[in-house]
Amino acid sequence: MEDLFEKVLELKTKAKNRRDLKRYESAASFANQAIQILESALVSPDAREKSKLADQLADSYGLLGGIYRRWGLSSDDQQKKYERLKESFNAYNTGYKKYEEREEYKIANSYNRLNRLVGYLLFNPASLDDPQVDIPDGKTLKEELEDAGVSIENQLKLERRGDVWAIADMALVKLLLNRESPMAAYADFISASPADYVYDTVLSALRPLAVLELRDEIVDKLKGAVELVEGKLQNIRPANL
Amino acid sequence: MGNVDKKRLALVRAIFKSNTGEMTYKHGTGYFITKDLVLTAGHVLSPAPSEVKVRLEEPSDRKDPWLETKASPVWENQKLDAALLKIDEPIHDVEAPLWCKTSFDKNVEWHSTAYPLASAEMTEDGKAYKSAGLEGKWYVDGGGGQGLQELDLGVEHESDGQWNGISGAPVFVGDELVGIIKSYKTGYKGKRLDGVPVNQFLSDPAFQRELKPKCLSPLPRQLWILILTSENSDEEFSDTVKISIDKQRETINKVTGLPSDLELRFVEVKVTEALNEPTKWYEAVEAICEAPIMVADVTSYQPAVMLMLGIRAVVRRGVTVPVTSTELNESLLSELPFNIQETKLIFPWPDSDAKDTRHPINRIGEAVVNGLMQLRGYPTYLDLPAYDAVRCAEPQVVTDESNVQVGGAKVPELKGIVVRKAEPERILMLCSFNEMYKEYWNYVSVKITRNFRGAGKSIERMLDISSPRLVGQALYESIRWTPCCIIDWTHWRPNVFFELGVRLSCSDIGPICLIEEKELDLEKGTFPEQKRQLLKLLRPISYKLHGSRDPFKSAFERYHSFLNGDQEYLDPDSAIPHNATYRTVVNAFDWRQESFARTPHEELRASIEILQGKDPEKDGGFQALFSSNAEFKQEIRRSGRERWIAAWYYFRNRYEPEDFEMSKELRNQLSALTECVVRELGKQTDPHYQRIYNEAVELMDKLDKLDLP
Repeated sequence: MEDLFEKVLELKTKAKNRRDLKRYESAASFANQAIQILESALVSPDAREKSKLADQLADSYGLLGGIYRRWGLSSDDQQKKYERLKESFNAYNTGYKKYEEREEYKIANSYNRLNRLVGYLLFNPASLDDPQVDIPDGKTLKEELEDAGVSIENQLKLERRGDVWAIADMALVKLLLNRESPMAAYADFISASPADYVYDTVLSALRPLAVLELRDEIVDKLKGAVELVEGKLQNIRPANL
Repeated sequence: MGNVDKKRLALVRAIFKSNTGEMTYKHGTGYFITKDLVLTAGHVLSPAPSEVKVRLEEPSDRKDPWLETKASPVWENQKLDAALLKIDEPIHDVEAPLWCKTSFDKNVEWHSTAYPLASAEMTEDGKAYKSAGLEGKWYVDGGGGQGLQELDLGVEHESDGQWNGISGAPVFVGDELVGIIKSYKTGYKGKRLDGVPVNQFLSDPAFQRELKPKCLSPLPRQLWILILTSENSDEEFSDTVKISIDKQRETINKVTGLPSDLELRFVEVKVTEALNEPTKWYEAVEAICEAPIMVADVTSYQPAVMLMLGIRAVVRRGVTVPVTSTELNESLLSELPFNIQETKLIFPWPDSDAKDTRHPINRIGEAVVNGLMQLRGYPTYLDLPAYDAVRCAEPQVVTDESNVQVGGAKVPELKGIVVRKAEPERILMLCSFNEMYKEYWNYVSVKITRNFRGAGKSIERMLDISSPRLVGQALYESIRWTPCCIIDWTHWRPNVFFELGVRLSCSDIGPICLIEEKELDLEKGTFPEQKRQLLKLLRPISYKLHGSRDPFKSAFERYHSFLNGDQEYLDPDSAIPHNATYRTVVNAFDWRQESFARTPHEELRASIEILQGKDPEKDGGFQALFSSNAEFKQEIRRSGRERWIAAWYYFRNRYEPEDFEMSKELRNQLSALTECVVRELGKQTDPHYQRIYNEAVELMDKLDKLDLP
């Protein structure tokens, strides 16, 4: 089983490298290979370590969702952009519904849960303030964000204590729900001194949101957060050797 | 005077093939000591013959008089220049030779038969080697001085340069085999020969092992479990272990990467059988070294079980599960011997039955699975104390003496501080700390101080070791490094026997064992059988409290004989030489489990994963304690980056480009490392990093192309 996880880790690394090189098709192919290996192992009758397999599946779907999101956002063709953002939402939604949400796997995470909401928002910005629109398989976007906030807050008390991804997710929920200023929302994140790649990922979520047609006060907060996080990243990135 | 048994005498021929195909030959003399083992001189078989044949002095009726043998000996001791060849088809039954046990105090006559070149005749078929009788005087006071003790043999016959072929010939005094001939002295016009005394072979555990039938060997090659049962062990102990582990068979096989339906193999060793004779002891020690999993019945903490657990603690990082049949509760746990307190002891809780998850029948298998998983995940996994401590460098102490010389060499000076090796300064005493032992300690310590002059300035127990290091760490370190270690068996304490096991397995200088004579009355105490066996095998010197000083004088003499490498005349069927356990361990120790056996890129990767975890991007943080400290985290990142680069550079330059093209396995490994370097450097702004990044991306693309479906 260790070999399988080792193989999956290699495929995820390949997918991330190609994503960062903007070779999205190849990146998605590697992420899908990882998913295929894990799903085959999970459905095999003598499957052990099911929680670990499901946890890796959730992570791989999250990775796939991220690849499609960046691919979509980089497209000039509006139709392609929409299709890829939709693919992105579907990947996050699958990761959440099939694995992350399932009680039996005991996965303490919010990767897919929050990103499916962000993903939906990217191709349907009006949904944030529309009390009439339910997201697929869910409630209204605002309600979903509120639920996600409660869940992440609980996870941060115990299972994900000190986890910078959880702290970043919580900060984003606070911004989107217009609850705190960028400085207040990201105070815990910054004081946790995350590694540089965490800043990159946080920025890759914030930047496209900050250019959406959302309420002005939320856009201002998102832009403020981008500035803040970029500034902090600049402080640590030049520190080579 | 007896004669050499000609039915056992043999000509040994080693055939060497050069790179150009040219054949050369070496001849020597051999002597069958069993029906299939021929004792001969090591240099006859050196360097690495391509073929070795043996011809009996009186061949059987076979058409071909030459007997086939493996080209490499089954036993070889280069220091002694002696070897044992194993014949493929055994000859007639042969009784063991009459090994010389006599200690001669005056020169005696010896005799032999051998195949000297001087006796060879040219025939139509080539050179014919004819045997020749030899005799002369064994100068018992000669052969000493520098190096190992040899047989100094005067020979009646003169041969200048024609002695070739007699190496390995048996040397007899009367009917007793006293050694083999290994060379001749040029300074005596060929009238003086050198031999290897038999007591030197007999004190080599590996030699002994070849002579006796093996009870445990061959040990299984794949995953197996050693079950160590104690004296009077609960009859059901082995069954409980087997059932418990078998219940977890599939998981165990999966964890270790074996087919899930593969049967697990169990090897049982009962302590009283292991102690029964030296060869069985050596076999048990080998099994302890090699067993990937060991389950030991530590009920009552019997001395021999603790001794074997002490050996296991030194030789194997693998999974060891101590189990007791005695019911324990929280208060009893705190009274366990301290070495056992450090382990995860499995015991039945009061009133728990087989359905209870805490019952050993459920917990043993579970403990094995957990141990195997952790062993795989953590390179520093340990379930017994001592393993790492005995691998520490030799401790040093600061000294105020200037110009100190140790062994003729000036001691090193570090930034103005003079340090020297700590351990030769003291005598280490391992003994009971029970209140009842106090009187013995007072007596023994004085006697040792008076009789062990020059062996150390002071005598120290564990309590007295002045090192600021953790007690256990300092103890095991000292057990390995202190040349003079005295172990008092009085009161038969479990801890003392665990420490005895540690010492026996990690030092080439055996401990000096003492015991108060009242303890020899075994009928009064527990476990008389194993105690009797231990006394016979390890021969502690008995002393009388407030009695004569003679035992301590003997102890000092014994220590000196250990240091000088003097060969003891021991009965090979009952006692073992002081360092025989260590020598057995040296040969059987599974060095592949040591982390150095990993390749540099694996080692670098493991060092990154210890701090960062396997998948830090997913985990949202590093594993290293205090890694939320911003500067520390930056440093972990920087160090990780450098290590990935080093691992990648190493691996890609370790092989030729064609090797990667030919081997998918190598390509996969290179690809994994390349991807990690790309991942690490993708966002770096430093120009050096950018250059390496570009190189890595280029290689990544090349590898992708090679493996396109």
